[in-house]
Amino acid sequence: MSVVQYVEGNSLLHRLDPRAKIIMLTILTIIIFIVENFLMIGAILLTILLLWWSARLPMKTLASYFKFLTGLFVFIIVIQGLFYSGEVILVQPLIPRWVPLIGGLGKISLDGALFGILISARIICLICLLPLVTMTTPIHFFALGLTKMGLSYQIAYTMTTALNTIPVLQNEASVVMDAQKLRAFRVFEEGSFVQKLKAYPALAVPLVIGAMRRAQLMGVAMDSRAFGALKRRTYVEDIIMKPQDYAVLAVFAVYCAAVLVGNFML
Amino acid sequence: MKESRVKSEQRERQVPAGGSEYAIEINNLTFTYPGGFTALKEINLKVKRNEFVGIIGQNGAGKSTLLKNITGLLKPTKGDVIVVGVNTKDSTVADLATRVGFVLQNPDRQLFAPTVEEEVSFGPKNLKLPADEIKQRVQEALGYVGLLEQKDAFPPALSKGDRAKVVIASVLAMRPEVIILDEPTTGQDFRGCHQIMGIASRFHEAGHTVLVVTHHMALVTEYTQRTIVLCNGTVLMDGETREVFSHPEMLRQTFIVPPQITQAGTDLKEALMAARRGWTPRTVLTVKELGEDIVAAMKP
Repeated sequence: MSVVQYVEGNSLLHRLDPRAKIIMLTILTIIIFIVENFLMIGAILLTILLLWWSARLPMKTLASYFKFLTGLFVFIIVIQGLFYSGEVILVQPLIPRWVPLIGGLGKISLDGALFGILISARIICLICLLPLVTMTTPIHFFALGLTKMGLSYQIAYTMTTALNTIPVLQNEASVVMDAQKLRAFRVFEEGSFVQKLKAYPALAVPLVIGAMRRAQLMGVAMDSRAFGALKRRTYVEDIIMKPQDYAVLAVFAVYCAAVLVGNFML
Repeated sequence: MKESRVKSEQRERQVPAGGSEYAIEINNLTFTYPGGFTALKEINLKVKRNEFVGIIGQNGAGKSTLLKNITGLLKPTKGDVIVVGVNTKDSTVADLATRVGFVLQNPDRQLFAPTVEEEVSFGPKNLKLPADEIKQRVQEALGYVGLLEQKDAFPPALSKGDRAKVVIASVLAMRPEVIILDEPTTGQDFRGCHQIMGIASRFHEAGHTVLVVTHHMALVTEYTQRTIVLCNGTVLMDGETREVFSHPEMLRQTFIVPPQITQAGTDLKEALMAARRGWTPRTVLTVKELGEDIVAAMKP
């Protein structure tokens, strides 16, 4: 499950200026947190899914997000239901009321469950939203967009390096898992969820040590090429906001206004 | 290609029929990665018990993919891989691990325990062996690679040569019948290279099967009996190491150059053949052999 891998394509999203995408990503993220109306959060999720489809991003990855998060959503909905007081009770208390101290606990309220669903919807929206940018923008263009928007090159570079490191770490983790499997460690193939969870910390040792070694090497390589010596940089590949980008931003503004109006009016 | 067929036919004749003779049998193995890249095409190979085999080829020739198929980390897209009588398709990596030990590239990526001793005991513990047996195996494996004194050290803090040895010890502690080393000498100094190959060699002398992938041709000629040359996912050459290195023109196809000593030997051979008709010395694999040939040539 990778969120940062660039997927080759020529859709509208692929062609947009990274700045336009970053602006829309930021605003939509804020809106996702504001919106409380189920219809509207549903509309946002539908929009995001449609954009996935239109950009021809891998539906498999999308499905894997849903699969991966189902457990978390059930947990959130149940927990919210248990601890959020409400009038309408969905599930009667697990522990009878006559039990001292803990009597009456374990009831799930409708309001709580609904709130849990809202939180879950927000999480899935956020998780599906980010790849719409990261999967349609080559990482150096993403960094260039940020720099052009005023972020210092050093910070943009750090960010892109961090993002680039994720697949490297994923690869290294799988090597360590292979090494463990080769020594008859069965958990990754046959173990339960809890066993797997317990097995992960062992992976951290080689990963962290490897990351530190790499960081040190990279620092030396960057210093030896005078990283940060020039305050004003020029770029081999430049980005220019085109009429198309402004048009998309305008449509996006109308969309946001509609969602917000819908949220507060309905 | 013709070369490879001739060689394998020769070997076929030497070995009596019957699957038990072979440590590894690979039949029509094709492997395609999920992305669609076919790394191995219709590979047929048989490795006898107690053979010491070198596998060479350019980067991307399919060497690591082949090894991963043998150890069960990857399962064939088509064809079968049978390791010590077990088809990898019907077995987990963990089950195969007691038959075939695999030392992956780059030791740093596979050391995860806080001490050398714990690293080496990880495998035997997974086999659920009794405590005294685990202890015995760890002692034995560390003794084998000469790291008994470092048993309490933090593996990443050891020297590169020692880190490689820890990984080898942790694989030996599984007591596999076959051991496979994937570029074990990359980044090692001269001493490290020969120490590692020495360990492999002793393991071979103890009656086990050893497969080594390496880019160090001098190590291949010095240690292995048989060499398999992979090129673009197919077997380009397969035969006795001396035989394979007798065909530099074929090796050149896949950008492999015989070790300098072999080249020097070939030059000498040509010079001698020109000087003395009817004299056909062997293809030289080591410095010692070249010395012997020179002495032989100087005799009247």
